[in-house]
Amino acid sequence: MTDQRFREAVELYGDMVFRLAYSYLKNRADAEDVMQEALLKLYVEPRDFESAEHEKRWVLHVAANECKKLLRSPWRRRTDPLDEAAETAAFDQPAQTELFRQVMALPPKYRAAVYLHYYEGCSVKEIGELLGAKASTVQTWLMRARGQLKTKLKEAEAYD
Amino acid sequence: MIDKKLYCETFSRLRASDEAKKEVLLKMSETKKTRRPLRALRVLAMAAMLTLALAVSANAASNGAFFENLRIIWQDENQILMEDDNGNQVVVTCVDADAELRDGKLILTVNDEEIDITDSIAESGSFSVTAKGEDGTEVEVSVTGTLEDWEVHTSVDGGGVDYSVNTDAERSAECGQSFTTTVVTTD
Repeated sequence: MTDQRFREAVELYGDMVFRLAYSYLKNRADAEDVMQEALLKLYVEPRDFESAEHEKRWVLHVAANECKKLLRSPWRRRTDPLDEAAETAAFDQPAQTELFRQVMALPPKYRAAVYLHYYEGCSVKEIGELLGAKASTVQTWLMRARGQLKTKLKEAEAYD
Repeated sequence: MIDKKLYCETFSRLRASDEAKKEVLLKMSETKKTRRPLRALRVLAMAAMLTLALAVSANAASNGAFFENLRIIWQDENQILMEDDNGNQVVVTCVDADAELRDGKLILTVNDEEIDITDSIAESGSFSVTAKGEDGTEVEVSVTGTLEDWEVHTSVDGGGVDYSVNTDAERSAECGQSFTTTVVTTD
């Protein structure tokens, strides 16, 4: 990969990988480490990808693997406190803040699956391939995530 | 249901810092300078040969090096196709295997699995384990030596004859780049 192409890739994939990693790890520093690691792997990857979509999926797959590796690591930084996490992104609507809080309270795999499905538009099959799980398992994660979010967001609404 | 629009608006606010992006560009420059070894080249085990199988088998009997100055002409996550000056080609299956001393213990890492081989090396000077390449090829990873000086080898059954490939762990390579290594028969 040429240096120019790599600069473009950082712009193109940097935030995408960061969002996936943050969804997984709930920690800015770890998520930025994953973003850098995944992009550097792209830089040294010798293959020519079949398409832009193929390259994007490859980067997401590498990032997901890095996240899983970090989650297993005893050296991993602890997750950011929720208040701090909410400050990671400045939201201008209370509904955004509440959704962010509730999504980040889900288990890591649910959060990653939700991100890939709702933000990146991946199908359950694609998410399964990216996260190393069966499509039926991903379907269950998404269903449970939706259920938990529905309950929590309703509770928050009632409380307000 | 999750409100997709709200979700996207919310999570679009999550962005990597400019510092982190600048840092990765700096790391790119460092990567170029240091040419860190590709994981796949740390240890290689030959799984099959594309051409000159007969010549290789004949060489196997002589139990010596028969490929030198190999050039990588293609590689992916699992395999590397190399060619020597005479156009002889070999395909090697990659297994990630390395040993390092950590707090006085010798740890062998094979495909991300760590094994404490301190006692085996201290007592008998050798340790071996069978690992699978990502294409399913069984590769024997062996460590010989002492706790001060050890070597990691891999070998695979190449149709009745065992072959092993040793490469300089510090070398790096990429497609099109030449490097010197030897493929040694060990039947």
